[in-house]
Amino acid sequence: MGQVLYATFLENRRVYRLAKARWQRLFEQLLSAKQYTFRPFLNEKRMDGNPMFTAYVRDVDRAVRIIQLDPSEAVSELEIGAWLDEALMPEREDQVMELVIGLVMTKEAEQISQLLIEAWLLQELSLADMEKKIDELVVIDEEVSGV
Amino acid sequence: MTKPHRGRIQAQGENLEESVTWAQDEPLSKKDGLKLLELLKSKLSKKELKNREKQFKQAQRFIENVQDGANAPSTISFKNLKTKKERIDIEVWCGTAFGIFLLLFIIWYLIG
Repeated sequence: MGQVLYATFLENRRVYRLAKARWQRLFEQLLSAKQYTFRPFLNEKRMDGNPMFTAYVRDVDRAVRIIQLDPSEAVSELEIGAWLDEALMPEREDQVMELVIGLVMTKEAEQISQLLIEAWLLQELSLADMEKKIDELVVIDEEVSGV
Repeated sequence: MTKPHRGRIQAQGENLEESVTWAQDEPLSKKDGLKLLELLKSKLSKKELKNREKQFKQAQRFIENVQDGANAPSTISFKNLKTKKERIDIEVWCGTAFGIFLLLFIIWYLIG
């Protein structure tokens, strides 16, 4: 596995805050090109990485949830998964879709995340095209899992 | 009248969407959360359970260990990254879940 970034985020609150700040910066950088703004939409007070970061972008009415996984539980070289779900937004009666990314934070996983977030929020791919993009970028070996 | 503490635990998958919910006046305790998790397990086939074995363990560990409970709005997901869709989601829609409210109440009662 590549070098894990913020490897001690679950043991050290300072490291946790640094990891969270990295996601904040990434979103600011990505969304500034279109002058989009974002806000958290879930309770992020727990410091367990699940979620590490959430963003609702009103300009496109879409959301992103980042789950940062415990590196000690990693079983493969690159630990990343992504899926689409309905965002939990109790104040809304209609459906807001979210891109969820779960990863062990390495440079490579971060780069894939960035591509997925760009496709979801900036290119505004349809749900079907986003599923294809996830399949393209996040390789699943179901043979290994026995499913 | 809508209950102030509500939520859902859900098992998702390619061909599966099973869930258990709660809606009550008091926060959901860890003990009742674990009972709901067991109830959800009982709704799954052996194969469906096997594909989510690790995720159920992670969900159990989360409920047992979370400090100060999980406050709404919260979605906590445990996904099998080696499969496309298999996962367990815990959603706290309103109020609080998995705190140690009874213990705190007893301490408060004893001190008072």
